Amino acid sequence: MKIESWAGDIADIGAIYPLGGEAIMVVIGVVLWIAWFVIQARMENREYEEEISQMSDE
Amino acid sequence: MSDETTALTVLFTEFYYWVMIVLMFLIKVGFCVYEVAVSRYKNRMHTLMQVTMHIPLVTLGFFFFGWWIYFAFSNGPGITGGLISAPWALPWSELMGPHLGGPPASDALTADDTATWSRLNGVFWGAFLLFSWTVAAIVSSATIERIRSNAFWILAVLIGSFLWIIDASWGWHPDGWMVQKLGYHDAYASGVIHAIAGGFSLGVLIPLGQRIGRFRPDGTARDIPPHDPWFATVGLFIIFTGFWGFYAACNVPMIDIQAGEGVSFSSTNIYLGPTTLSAITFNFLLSLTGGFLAGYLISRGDPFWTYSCALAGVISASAGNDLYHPLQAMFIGAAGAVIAYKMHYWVENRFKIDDGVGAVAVHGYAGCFGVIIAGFVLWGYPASPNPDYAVITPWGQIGGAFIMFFVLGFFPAFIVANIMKKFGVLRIPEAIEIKGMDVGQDIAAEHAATVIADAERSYEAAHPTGG
Repeated sequence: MKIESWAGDIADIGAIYPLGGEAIMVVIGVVLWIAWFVIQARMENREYEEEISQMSDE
Repeated sequence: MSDETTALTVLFTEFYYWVMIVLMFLIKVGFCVYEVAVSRYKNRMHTLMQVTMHIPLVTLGFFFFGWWIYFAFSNGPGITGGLISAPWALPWSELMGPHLGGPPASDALTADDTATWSRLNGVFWGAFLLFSWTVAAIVSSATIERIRSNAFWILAVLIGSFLWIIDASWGWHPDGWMVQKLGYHDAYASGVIHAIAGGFSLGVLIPLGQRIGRFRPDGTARDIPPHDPWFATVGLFIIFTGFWGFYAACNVPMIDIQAGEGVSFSSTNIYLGPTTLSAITFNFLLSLTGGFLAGYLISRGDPFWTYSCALAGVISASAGNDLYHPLQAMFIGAAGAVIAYKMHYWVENRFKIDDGVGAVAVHGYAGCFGVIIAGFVLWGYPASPNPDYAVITPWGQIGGAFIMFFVLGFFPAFIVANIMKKFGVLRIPEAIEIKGMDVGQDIAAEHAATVIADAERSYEAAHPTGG
């Protein structure tokens, strides 16, 4: 549902964002939020491994 | 909003919280400056990212479930009593987005829900979120220079999006079970923010362990001075500034408080009990004063501890700063600062706890003291305008301090951090700790500087008359 006009009784207007799909966006958001932690943990592990390897090369 | 009084009240309240959110943002700015300054130069950029990146991570958790917990978990005691319906706070609710207050599109909401929450849900959510960031940042400051970023951010979400908002639902809600049954009173969050953050930090610090070199072989502590002491105190000064927003955001700015017939508008504390912005202005400044004066003397003029004790002073008086006399606030602030300072060094020497900034003391011990002392000074005061609820007592406050520090702070952190330790994901590798967490960036920067210097020399050789 979209707002197509501001004419009429303002008191009848509820949500003003393009309504619909909120639950799906929440699910996608939660999955991406958790995925971020997983990806970051791998990045951090790799970073430490590389740094330790660089230090031992020096 | 068809009548002018309602419109004025709602729009003023919306604007008020919006401004407080902006002010509270300064707490985060202060924490960034402070933590980077306190950490050693070799760890500065990782420290900055540690204290920065919990902002988006805690925000998402607070959007997905934290805000709903605040309304849903108020029944008790503890986990008994069942959940309370709060459809406006569910992440898929139309009220968790821009809304003008008209009839709801969803059957889960009523016209009253949309009329009440459309303009206030976002700013209330934002104000509570800024408290969430604060509680997580306190833990960050205690654990600097050896915790893995990933581990810290998981712990930040645990306390910032989950545990602290449970305690707010129990003891910082007009109908929370601790308010009803214990007469728990904690107007500006000595317990619900500071004691839980201190307890949680201690629960992480024990399994995390000390920084390498922090204690001598004979067990005495070595000082690890801030790499920039001046900026550490500037950071604390900025936190003080943000604290004004924190205090004001704990109030409801304009509401009819008259029971029964008649109308009387006032600001209230979070329990909807009457107070004024003047009251908290007096008491914030006098408790800060008490903390500063006592901190200077007890630390013999040490800048870091003088500022930290000022913060401990405010935290110590916060539970009752809606109702204290300003000089009561000052004496309590001074006592809290001394307790925090003395306890910090006693615990450090006795248990070899390496708290990077004294966060457990300034927030945890001062916060517990603040909750408990309010039980004595305000003994017999109503904890809420509801006459059926318990009054403030020392035992209600002692029980409340225990719940905040241990039940929701220390124990969950100790368990989760020990599990992380068992899997080897809590602490950075020793070699990294010794060389510094920024070692990779520093090597890259050194390499880049060499490359550009070579390029400049080549250019100079190719253009001998240049410039």
